[in-house]
Amino acid sequence: MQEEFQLNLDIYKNLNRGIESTYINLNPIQRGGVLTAEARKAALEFADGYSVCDFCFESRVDLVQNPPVRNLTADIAEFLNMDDVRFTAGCRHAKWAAMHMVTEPGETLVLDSLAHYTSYLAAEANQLKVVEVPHSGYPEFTIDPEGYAEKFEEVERNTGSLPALALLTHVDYRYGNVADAASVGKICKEYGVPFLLNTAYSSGIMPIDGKKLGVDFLCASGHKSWAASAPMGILATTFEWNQQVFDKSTIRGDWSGRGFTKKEVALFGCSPVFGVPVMSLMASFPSVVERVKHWDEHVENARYLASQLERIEGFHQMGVKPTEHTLVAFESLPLFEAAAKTKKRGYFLYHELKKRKIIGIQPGMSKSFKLNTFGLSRVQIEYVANAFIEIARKYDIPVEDEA
Amino acid sequence: MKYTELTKQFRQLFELPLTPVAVKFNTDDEPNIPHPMRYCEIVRKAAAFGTSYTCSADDMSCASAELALGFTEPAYGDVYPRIKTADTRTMTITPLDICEFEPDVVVVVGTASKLMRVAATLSKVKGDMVNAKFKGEFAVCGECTTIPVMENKVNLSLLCAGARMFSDYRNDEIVFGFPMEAFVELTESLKEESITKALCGCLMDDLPARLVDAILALGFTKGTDHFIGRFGDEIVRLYIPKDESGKSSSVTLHVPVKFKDADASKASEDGASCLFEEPMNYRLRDNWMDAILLIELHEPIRRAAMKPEKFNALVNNGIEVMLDRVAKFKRKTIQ
Repeated sequence: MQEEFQLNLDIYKNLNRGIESTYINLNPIQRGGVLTAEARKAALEFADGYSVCDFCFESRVDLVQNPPVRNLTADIAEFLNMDDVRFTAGCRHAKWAAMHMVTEPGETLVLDSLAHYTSYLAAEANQLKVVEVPHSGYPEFTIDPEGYAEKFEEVERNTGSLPALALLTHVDYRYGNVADAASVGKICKEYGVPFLLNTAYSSGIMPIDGKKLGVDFLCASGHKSWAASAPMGILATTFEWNQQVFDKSTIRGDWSGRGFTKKEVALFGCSPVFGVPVMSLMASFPSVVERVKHWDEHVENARYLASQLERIEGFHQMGVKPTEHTLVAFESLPLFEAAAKTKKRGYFLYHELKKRKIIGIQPGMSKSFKLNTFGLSRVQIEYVANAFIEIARKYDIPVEDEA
Repeated sequence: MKYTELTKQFRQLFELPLTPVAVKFNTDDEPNIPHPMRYCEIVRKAAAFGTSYTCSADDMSCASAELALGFTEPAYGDVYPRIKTADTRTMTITPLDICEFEPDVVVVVGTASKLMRVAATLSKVKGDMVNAKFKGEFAVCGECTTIPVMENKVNLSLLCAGARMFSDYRNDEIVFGFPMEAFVELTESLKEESITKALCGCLMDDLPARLVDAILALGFTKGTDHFIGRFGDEIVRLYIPKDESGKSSSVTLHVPVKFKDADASKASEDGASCLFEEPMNYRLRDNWMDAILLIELHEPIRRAAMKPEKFNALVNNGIEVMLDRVAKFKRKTIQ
């Protein structure tokens, strides 16, 4: 007889996030992933496992016509001005898949030194060496596209061949700098190095034209920037590469003779097998197409917030100024000093903001923090600015009068 | 079970496939050994299969263990290490997670890479080196059981030929012996934030701890990419630039000065170019003017920071220069 489990299952009952829908969420990784009302409805409709596959006649979810996943694939390719698209289990899987299909173990990947950790891990999983393009350091932390040319030549000098792939993080997760992807794309073309652009913080919230940027592979994050449920990623490529990247299975069972010739190897055959993520991506897509047209307004809002927060003594926006993105990083030494005098220490900022129904600043952070204003209205942003100013005044941190 | 949680915590942190083994001398339990065995064999069986044994001298198939564990006095000369006086009647060896008694010793079997992590944590807890006494004889019995009991010290052993040949210890396994108190102290310290803290496990730089400490001692606090501190009326940022090959032999100090708008900051450029001359510099960033001072160390920063007097003087002098120039700049442009 099976031994009885000693599990406390009560903790799985009545699950809730502990955050009311009226809260303003500034979490840098969550703003672009907030679902649209349509996506919430679709998520409920397609919450059952494999519910997308009611009418699967092609043995691959990206080819399902009802619901229109196949159309979505083509439309997203057009929207990004790329030739072909597949859905993946997150941007990280897209990076891994592209690297896996176009490089060989031992080859070199040149990437920016602000790249997301999953870029390094994808390289590691594919047994690639990495060579970093340095950033400019404090306080801007920018990537000079010319650094790619220098590193390509350095790799060629050291290994006898050019790198197998170049990766650029279009918008870095630390300072929200928008890198000059077009210039990197041009350099990659000149050297003949394939170019992978990580648009986890750009496509889906700002306009992206893959062809104009000279991109060979473009990966995106549905849950970071396309108003989709996690896990959802996008891998887009050009016709030049799609056969190689979306290569079909050739394996055969030695005894049964079974084969799976429609299934794409790097995507584990039928990607994504999940229902809710792809359906939420689909339901949000019309809003996404519309919202990227208003990117400038979102950036303007972020700039406004930065200017308001910089009225507080010691607050200083890092990265490119004025910011070109809605993800913004600040130094805030006076908050750190105030934290030392409170019982909650560094967590006081989190609690002070939560009292004002603002969440998303990493709990425990006070000497520096990141936030993202994407999708917030000007009224909400004014509310956030006032909340910070109120907290600063409460802890005797000087605040400049408004200009 | 008394030690279930403790064992779980220890095994989880160090990812040990084998259970730590509790050892107690002279328990009230009756011997239950099915046939004579080596002590080290009993320990490994307890660790791997979760079996408990109580044994007497008659159950020992290894004369060395009999001597080391104090079952008998040596007939000729002396033996080190051994339990003195030899008054051991029985010993109980049981996996720590099901142990109901207060053990004298905890023996931990693991690979060198796993026990290296135990050693690193142990040295942090104790604030000292881990001293090991071993010679490849009397290993599990003497080096990892007797020494912890007789000398109240944690000891590490590379094992002995007997253990490896007859008792199933793998080639890559070694053994730690802990006095019970030391084992409890180590395991409970694993809860301490200072030892286990890691928000995401990402290292954001490769600065050695000594260098970070040297900069913190100057009055800075560490941010993700740079250091920041309040000096006089200003907040000064310290950044460690790297050259193309990743080497650092300088630091830069930064003080951003705020203007009401980008035009005002641009208009202050004349003043900045006079005041912020080599080795100073400036950079316009929207409505800010970032004053920068480059401090050349003329040697790798890791080495420079190991000469505190010179390093502190260079940075402190730089801060003074920076504060002086920024104050002048502000007087000229803002006031």
